[in-house]
Amino acid sequence: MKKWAWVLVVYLVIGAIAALGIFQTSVDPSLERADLAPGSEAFLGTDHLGRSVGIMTMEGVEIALMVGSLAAILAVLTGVAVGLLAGWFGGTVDRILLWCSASIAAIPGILLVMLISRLLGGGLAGVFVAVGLVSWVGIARLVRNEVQQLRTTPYFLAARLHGAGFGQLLRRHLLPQIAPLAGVQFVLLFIYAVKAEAVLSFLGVGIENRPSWGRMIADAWAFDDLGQGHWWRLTAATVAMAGLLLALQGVSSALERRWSRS
Amino acid sequence: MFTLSLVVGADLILFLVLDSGVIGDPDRLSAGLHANQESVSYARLRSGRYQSYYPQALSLRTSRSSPPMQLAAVDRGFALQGIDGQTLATIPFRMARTLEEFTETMTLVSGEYFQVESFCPEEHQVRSVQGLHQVLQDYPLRLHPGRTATVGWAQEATLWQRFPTGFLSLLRFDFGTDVDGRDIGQRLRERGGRSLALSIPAFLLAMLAALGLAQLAVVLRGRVDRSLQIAAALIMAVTSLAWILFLRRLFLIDLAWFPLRPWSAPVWPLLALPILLWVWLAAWPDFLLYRTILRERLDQGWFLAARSRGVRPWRLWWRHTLPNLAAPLASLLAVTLPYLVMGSLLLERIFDIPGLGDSLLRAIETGDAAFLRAATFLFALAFLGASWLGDFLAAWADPRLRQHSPQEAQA
Amino acid sequence: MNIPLFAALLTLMAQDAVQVESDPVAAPVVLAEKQKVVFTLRVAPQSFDPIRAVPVIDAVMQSQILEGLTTYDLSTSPPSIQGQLATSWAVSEDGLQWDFELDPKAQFFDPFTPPLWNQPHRLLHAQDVLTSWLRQADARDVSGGYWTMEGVFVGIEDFRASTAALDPEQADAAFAKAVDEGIAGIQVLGPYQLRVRLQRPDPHLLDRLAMPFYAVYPAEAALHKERNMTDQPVGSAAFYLADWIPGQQVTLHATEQWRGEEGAENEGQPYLQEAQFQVVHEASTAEQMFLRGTTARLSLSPQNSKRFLDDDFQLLEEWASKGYRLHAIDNLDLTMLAFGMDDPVIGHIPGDDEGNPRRRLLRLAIANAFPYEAWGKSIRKDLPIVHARNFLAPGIRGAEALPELPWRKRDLNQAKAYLAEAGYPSGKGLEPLEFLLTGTDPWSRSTGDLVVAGLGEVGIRVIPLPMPFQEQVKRAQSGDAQLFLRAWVPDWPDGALILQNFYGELVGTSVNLGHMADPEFDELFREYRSLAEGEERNKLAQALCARLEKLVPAVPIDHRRSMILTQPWLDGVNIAVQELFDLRSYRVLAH
Repeated sequence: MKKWAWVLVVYLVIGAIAALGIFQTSVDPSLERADLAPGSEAFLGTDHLGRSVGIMTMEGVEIALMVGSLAAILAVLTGVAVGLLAGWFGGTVDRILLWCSASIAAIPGILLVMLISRLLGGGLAGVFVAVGLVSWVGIARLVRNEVQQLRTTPYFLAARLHGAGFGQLLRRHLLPQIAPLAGVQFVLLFIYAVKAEAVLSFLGVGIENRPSWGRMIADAWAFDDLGQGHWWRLTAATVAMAGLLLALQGVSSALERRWSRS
Repeated sequence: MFTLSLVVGADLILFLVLDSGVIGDPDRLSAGLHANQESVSYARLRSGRYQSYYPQALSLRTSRSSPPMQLAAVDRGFALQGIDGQTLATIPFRMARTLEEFTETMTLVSGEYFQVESFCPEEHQVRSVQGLHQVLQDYPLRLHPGRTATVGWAQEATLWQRFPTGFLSLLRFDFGTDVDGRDIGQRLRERGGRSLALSIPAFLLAMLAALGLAQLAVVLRGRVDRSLQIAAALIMAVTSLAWILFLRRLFLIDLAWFPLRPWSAPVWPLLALPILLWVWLAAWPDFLLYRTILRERLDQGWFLAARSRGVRPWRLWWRHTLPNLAAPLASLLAVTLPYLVMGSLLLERIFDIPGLGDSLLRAIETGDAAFLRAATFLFALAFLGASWLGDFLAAWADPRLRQHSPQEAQA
Repeated sequence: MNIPLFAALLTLMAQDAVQVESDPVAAPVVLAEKQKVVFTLRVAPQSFDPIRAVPVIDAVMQSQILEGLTTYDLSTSPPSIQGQLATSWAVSEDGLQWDFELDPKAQFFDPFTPPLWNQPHRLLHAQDVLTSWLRQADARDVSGGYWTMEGVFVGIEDFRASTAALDPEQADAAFAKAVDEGIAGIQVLGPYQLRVRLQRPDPHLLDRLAMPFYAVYPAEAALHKERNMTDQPVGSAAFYLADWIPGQQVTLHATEQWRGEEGAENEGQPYLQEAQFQVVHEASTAEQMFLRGTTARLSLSPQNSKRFLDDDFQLLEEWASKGYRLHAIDNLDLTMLAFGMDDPVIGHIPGDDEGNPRRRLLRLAIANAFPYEAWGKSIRKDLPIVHARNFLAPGIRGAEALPELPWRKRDLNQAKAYLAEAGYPSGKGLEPLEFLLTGTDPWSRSTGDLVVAGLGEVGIRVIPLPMPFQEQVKRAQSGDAQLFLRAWVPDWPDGALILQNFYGELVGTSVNLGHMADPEFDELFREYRSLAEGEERNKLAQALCARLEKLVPAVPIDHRRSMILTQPWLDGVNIAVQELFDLRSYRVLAH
């Protein structure tokens, strides 16, 4: 867990620096610095417009962290809320919410994500809202099942008999039980959102004006980097993304182990 | 019934999303690049968005001395605007409710700066100005000095009128035609078939590969298990996009191990590399899943005892591990089936396979709402049918699930 | 015709030079036994129905199977009009009435089932022309080409309105009546005589009729309930559709007895027995197929041009020595950076004599700051483009005498000076300008990035807005655009089709997206488009371009140039502008 946590910290630091706007990728209008291989002139090389691949990769960290965290937060909050409501109230409420979530699940996910992202005009908001809105279904179901199970446990019933209100029960019993589950789901969704951003950018519906890893990969394909022997742009984006995803995966496994132990 | 309501729900959500114009206005797209008020209105009539449309409901004529103007639909009424957008006169709805009243009001607002005459044929005079407002929302009416311009009148069908008609024809499996005028049902069949030719072999091979790896990991344990897990984590961390792009370049172009030609018979050599890539990408997550299930299901003490009694590994596999996996595998297979029909959007696009995934992408690009609705409808049906099938298969494969009590152990 | 920039189809459709035998005592040409060629297409045709002939590739494919009254002679540059189904025509004095004589040998060939007739051929009748054209104007179906008819033929608008009757029986009756009796603007006078009456004189009617929307086909091929023209086109041309897998492959076979029994000995009979077009989206696949000898032609793309061409864009010796041939076609399109002329920050507002000079200086500053060289190198990726000297491409009639625009060059000092004069020294006080892109794909986004960087060097801030092409057109059409990229292809080699982008009466349509409305320009334009080709017309072209030079409504960037490689064994290749190719002259040499 420790080493993955350190890797994550590195990414967070880079992301924070990028958020401050310290990195500036600039197109070179004279194109003299275009398509340079990694070396003394440009750390990780330059792309077809003369932008530094290294700087773009670091800017991509910020985008990835933002997309991942915002999408995951949205999905987890929505999913937990819906799951709590469905599990707690049961009956009609449960059926309606089940109907909503099942209807969403019945539409091909990638299609819905693309459409919602287009609806919101692409960009950062488009991607994370789309991914978030489509991914809450799984969490909702898990939370709902947990809540329903919890409601039948003896100590829970006892607490209710003692007159504990919804708020108290929520704080003392439900949330602590759900928290580890939500935590693991958060990380998994984070991973999914980062990957989805890459695919969305590739398919033309992603982040617009700022360099993201997905956009770097899309550009690499569109401008046939590999065909011309320019391997650095694709490699930098891939390695950076892999590093982040591995770190997150490590954290998620550790969380899961801790959760199943308790 | 519940299943049907889910299909309605899925279609409703999609209908609302598409209707908002997210992939473009299908009527405007159908009217083409040289669309004008008339051609877009005719397209709306064809698509059912307009219940009725009369192209020459109102004529307006400006005097020679008037500046160039346009009549536009604005909030709660109409406005006569100059060429730089400034408003010269407004006609709110409360001033004119019918077209006849509108023509009268038009005369009133004329002044020394501009003179506009308007004329409305008798059969249209009683119509509500809302119809005029509707048509002007697409295009304002340009008024050139000294010339007559004609504008139409339309009655829009409401959302709640359009959705049921659309949904009912879906239920009849009458999908209509796509933006190119081709039958959607036929197209879905053709393309779905090609996607399945890619996805079914890939899925089966991936499943076998993952099973094999999971067996290795569970049976051999120790370092083999750890190495496989690490490999899986590393491989899964690299985005599938990068895998596809790099490996395609390597095997298809640099090494030329696979044929490089467009989609034409025989197609299996063209599917070979995409299938292998799919297997490579899908086997590792599946491996982790099966490994987890196997570890959970197999009691380690029992396993060691059986091995120490000399029971051969393959017998263990056939009689014990496989049946344990049967239930989750069966439901997984059933639930994944609908996604298999869609194929892989990425693989189809990058390898130029004319499958369903590729046509979905194209439908989004060309604003083909009818196609998307039909495809989603079928997918929803398949998805729900497959879930039911999955539950059934799981119960059939694993007798334990047929009992209500989950604690019944296998003898 | 307007082509989005990413439809690089323009660079892919071949126009090939006439093979002139330079040596009259050359060895006789030995033809291969199997006259079959395979070509690649980047974009798949979607339909063979002339009412849907909007995409370029659809139109080009249809022209191999269907014929119109007129067509282009590809051996001249620019291509000249000649009769195809029409053998002769006569124009009345006022220019409003045209009488056409049709070819009595022309016949349709139907290879599909269920068969339309007892035998596979049927002779053409003038009635077929009427019905085909009426079907184009029918409001009950997509009429991709109706915009070319509106305002042209007498009575066509009324006909269209009558087919839009809400009662289907009424609409059917109206259509049937028009087919029986004709309309005022299109009349059948005899089996091979057709009369056309126009609302106003159109000296380019023959060019108009050469457009794919006017292709002639038997009505039964479209209206029979088990047949449809999209997949089963029946035409009178030298080839027919033998096989077609939508989205992937088109196979054409030579029509037997084209132009009847006598036609077999006639000129124009194709050598090719079969032509197959395969859809290949990726440039490297197309290249590999060409190098392996599978395909006969390769359109050079930015990705592979360096492999075949040297720095001067000539074919490298290693290829030339093997007999490969390079054909370069200068297209007549124009790509420009257009300004929203009704925008308060950057446009030309009639009457605002104080603000207009300042805004004009801002536009000039942008013209001087645009990165033309970088555009050519990175966006066009070293493919030779013809940098635009003026608004009309050199191949357009009358464009030879046009001077070079003085402000169309990158001069950062000049740009800064203009900017300061306009009241925005180093860009201070100038709000960021919105730049509408023509797509959301990486190529379009790169154009945005380049323009941002180029204009940013003098202090002009630009916000690129990627959006689907339709949305860009919609926004610009409604006047909500400051800067936008525009690529425009003329439907025939006529300057009016480029200059109409600036014609005031077309503001609010999809043609004049920049909303320029200058009375002086408009008056000259009206005169220009009503004249036939000649010296007087050319003078007007110069006057019009001079006015544009003064007003700066757009910055012309480049005209695209297609570079095509052909196999040594492919002969008879005809290159002409405008993406037209004629398979009839192609032949495969023994190899």
